[in-house]
Amino acid sequence: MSEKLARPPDSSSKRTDNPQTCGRCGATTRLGERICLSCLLHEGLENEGEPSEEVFAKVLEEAEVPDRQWRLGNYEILEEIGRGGMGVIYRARQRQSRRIVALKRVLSYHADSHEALVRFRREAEAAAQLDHPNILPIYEVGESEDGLPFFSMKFATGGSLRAAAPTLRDRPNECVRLIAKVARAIEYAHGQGILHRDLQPGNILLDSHGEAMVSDFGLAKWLAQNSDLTQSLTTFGTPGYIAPEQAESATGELTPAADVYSLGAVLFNLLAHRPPFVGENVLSVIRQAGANPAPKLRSVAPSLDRDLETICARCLERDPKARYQSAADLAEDLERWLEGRPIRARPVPIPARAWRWSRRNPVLAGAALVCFSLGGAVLWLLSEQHGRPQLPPPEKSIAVLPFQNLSQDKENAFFAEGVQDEILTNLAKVADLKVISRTSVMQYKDPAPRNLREIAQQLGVANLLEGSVQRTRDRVRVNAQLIDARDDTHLWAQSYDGDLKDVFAIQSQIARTIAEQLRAKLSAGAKAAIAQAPTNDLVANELYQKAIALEAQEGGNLLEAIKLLEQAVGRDPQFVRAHNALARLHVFLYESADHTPSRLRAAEASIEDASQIQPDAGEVHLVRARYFSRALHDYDRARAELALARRSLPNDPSVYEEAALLDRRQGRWAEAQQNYANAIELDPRNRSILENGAFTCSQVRRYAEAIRLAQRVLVLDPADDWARIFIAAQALHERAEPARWRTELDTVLARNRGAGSDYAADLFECALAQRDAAAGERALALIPPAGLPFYFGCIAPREWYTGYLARVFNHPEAARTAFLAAKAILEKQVRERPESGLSWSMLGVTKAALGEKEEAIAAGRRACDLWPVAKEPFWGPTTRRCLAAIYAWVGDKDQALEQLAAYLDQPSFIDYGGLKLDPAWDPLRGDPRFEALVARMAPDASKTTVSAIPEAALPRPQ
Amino acid sequence: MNPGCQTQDTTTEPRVFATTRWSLILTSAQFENGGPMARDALAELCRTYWRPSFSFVCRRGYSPEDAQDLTQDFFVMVLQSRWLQKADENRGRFRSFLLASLQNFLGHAAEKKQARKRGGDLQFVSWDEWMAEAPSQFAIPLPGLESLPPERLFDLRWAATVVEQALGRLREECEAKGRLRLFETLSEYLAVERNEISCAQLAQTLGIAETMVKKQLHNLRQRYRWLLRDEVAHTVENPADVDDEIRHLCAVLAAET
Repeated sequence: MSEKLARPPDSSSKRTDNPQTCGRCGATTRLGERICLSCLLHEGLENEGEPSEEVFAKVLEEAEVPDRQWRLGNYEILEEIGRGGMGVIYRARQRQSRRIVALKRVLSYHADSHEALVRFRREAEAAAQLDHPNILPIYEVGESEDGLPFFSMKFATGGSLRAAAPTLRDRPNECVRLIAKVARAIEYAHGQGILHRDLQPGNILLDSHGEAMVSDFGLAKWLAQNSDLTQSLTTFGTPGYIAPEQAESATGELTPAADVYSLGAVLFNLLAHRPPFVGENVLSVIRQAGANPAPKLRSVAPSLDRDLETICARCLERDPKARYQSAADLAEDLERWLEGRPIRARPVPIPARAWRWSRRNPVLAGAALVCFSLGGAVLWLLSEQHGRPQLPPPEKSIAVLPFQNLSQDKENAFFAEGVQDEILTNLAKVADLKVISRTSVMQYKDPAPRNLREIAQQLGVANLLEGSVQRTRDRVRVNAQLIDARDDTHLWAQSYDGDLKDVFAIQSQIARTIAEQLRAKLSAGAKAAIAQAPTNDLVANELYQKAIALEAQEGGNLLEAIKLLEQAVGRDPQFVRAHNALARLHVFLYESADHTPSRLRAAEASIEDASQIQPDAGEVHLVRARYFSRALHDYDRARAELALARRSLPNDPSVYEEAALLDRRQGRWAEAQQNYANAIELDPRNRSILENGAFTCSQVRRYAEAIRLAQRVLVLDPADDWARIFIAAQALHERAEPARWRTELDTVLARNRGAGSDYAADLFECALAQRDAAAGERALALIPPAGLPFYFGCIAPREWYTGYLARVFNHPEAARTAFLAAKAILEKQVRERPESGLSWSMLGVTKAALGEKEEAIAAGRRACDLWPVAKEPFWGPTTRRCLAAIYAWVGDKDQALEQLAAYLDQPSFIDYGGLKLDPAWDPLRGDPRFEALVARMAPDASKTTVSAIPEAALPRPQ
Repeated sequence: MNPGCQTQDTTTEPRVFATTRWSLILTSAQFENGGPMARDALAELCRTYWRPSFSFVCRRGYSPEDAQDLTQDFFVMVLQSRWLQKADENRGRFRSFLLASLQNFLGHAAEKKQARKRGGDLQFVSWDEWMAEAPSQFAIPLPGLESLPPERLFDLRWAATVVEQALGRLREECEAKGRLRLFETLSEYLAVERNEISCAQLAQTLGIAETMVKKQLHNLRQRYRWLLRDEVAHTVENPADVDDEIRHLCAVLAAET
């Protein structure tokens, strides 16, 4: 034995912090993709192997893969992953550290002097000094045996932006977000005195989280040096992205504006799916870029937002001085756009500015969907009818379908649901998996033969878990099978028999096995969470299951659910999930129906119980977030709790839904939409999330998106009245066309008389927009005595509606009587809830109708002071709107117009249709200032908008 | 048991390993002063299997510094004293013998510490060098690793060391023939089911025919198996115990996973 052997060797095994389980032997000593300690040990038992080193060596030499062609400096080349004009890129392994790197070897470099080589190294080493989260780190600059330079850098697992571009199609928000980050990285590099010189989609790489990382800083010019123009063109390989001044003089002095140009070209390409200039060959592209202005973004992609066009145009100016003066300026505008704020670049005359912003889709121009040609719109709708056939589902995605109850006793249905729910909950803790939430999967309860592929498609997953549960007195049998629904292959199936008390262990085992089967990484935290049984009391668990089934049921008896949960925690006081559910229900009741101190105290007590047992559980943080947000309106603390919850509940749509609600309340519209999108991704068939998402989109005047989401509700249930009416209403909001809304309302009300009170406010608003007194009377008859939220967003008693209708149709006496009655009710209301801005607003409007000018204004102002827009971006604009109405009704046009103009740009309940048709604004009509405001809200007349989609394109109820 | 007979037996069983290090050591130990060869062999075995011992000491609750000292002292004791002559019923396996000795040693750790203070600070190897040279590739990311009893941890580390040794030797043999790349590419598949391996992909990566990939994989696997068994054989007195020892280690892994 040689001394060398005493050293534990540098073996080939991979080290990893994320244990995985070996699919072959089930051991968790599996390391990395394929290395399993247990299997490697077992090999020794297979047979005795080859004893002769000579025989082994002889066969070894037959493989013609000699190592000498394979090493570069300190690296072992693993495979070639790219080849371009500049050289070859390999995936390689650093020999000592075993780290996987990307290695670029410069092939076309003509090092004709030692000095040039020294300068190359110096520049590459300067680039290696850059330290920014969005810049790909360079590890080492070296030189191979043949004297050619190479450098090693982080291996970006997400590939390049060029490869990712198709997945970013029609996701302008994501494109802008990425480029904003890249621009910040470039800003940083510029600050270090380094220009990039060759920004293009191929060298913006993505890490495993999809974050952009810019590579190849400052190295392009070296690769192009000493070559004539045509050679340098092939070297650049991507002429559509270099600034004209750079193409004209490769050696000339460049400024940061050259990189700004390239950033603009990359953004243009992502948004329009083509670079700004295209030509038959490289030279023609470069000539065009030098000779012609860049095309307008919307001439290529008309549906995109005008501000994005402005931003791109500003980057792509031929004169470097006319571009954004720094990458920071560009980043700033992109971030402004993302946040729905006005951008700074203004190629259009300044006076147009204010109204242009209001016209712009305020949050994002997501907008491949905002405007359509008619034909396109129909096509689009049809393609949406089958759910979401966009991207292929992620590999590591799963839906756990309801388990079949094979027990004799039907009561055991809850037990079967509990088994499914627990497996689902366990899997949802695995961040590496996409797991569809309970609400969406429960819709597939019917055990009749079903089309699994279709279900998977509807849910946006690759895999499904099916199962059955059979429970006899004290035994349980659980069958589970995992199916890859894309091709109906059965990946795994297993039957578990055990004592009833073992059911939690079986559930954990199934969840763990599924995660392993799908090769999902399990964090230590997730592993521990999965291993932990929620309760060991089966009866308590069943009570809990019954309670959450009630909670999920539309119109389910929540007080009954609370009773069941109280029994559950009575049996097992350590049952955190039941405490959480209790807290959730109490908070909900406090918020919606029972705004009493005792309800609040009950919520607090349940939260306290849960926190005592598991202070750090994600579920506990989530319920605390709900409490802070919904009960206390303490949004900052709610946000902090949500951030903690998200860590251990990666697949819980409620986390996103709650975040969206917070965002909306805090006026973070773009984030709200993103959070709704995330929630929908995990719970694609949850009506309430879809409805809230649609509502939010409508509020920010993204009507196309709003309709698209409502359309998805219709896909779930073609007879859904809400969705039909909502879609029709968008035509009023966007285009001031109430007819279709009215038709839809009439149809629904004729078919479903019981739904009357649900849509009374809609019919009332529509009747007023149409000035149809008879329809108004019909609506009035449907309004319950306690009243309804009117379109002002405030709950108004029925007397108020009576008064308003009489006022509009010129019955002053009747109006006065009704308003006086309404006033008495509203005065009582503000005494009871003096903190509610909306109650004060409504009281102010009522007093204005009664001619009590000073008091009306005082009440309206009080509402605005209680809920200023800055503090309450969601409800604040409504108090301003009411104040505007108050001023209008008491005859102060100037003030009315000032209030109105001040908040028209805020996302709120006001829209073009309301402004144009609502009788509330009648006192202002004819005033040119008011008419200008109406015009400012008008849709672009040259476009056919989505809300004008023909009736026939909507699915009808069966 | 007569170790002498065992070594002779091997001549009639050519498929079994000729001499095991452990049997050599034990044989020599019967003689006064052993022999330099046996001492070197023992030192080598100890250097190879230091990590399980160190892990064991740590798990017994000593601070890393104390555990370093104790492990050092333990091996110095093993190499310098007449330790082997105390070999008892555990002697058939180097692993069990080392573990039993270590347990015994720690039982008297307090005295040892005193002795250490009085006497010279003997070092088995330079600790820094040791740690730097021998990072375990197998991080053994078991969920319950922290709560494993010391004896289990010892065996687990032992299993990892055995596999590392075999893989390391295979790697060196490949490197010596200029086929390190082949090893790097294929060694991940040594214990992977045939049907899970995309030979076409590997053939493309390596630029050789698919049949050649299969042949090389088979060759590597055969050699690896032999090396693994050889590695284990060095730690058992009777070469016929190799299978049992591997089974024992497999069982340890299975129990913990």
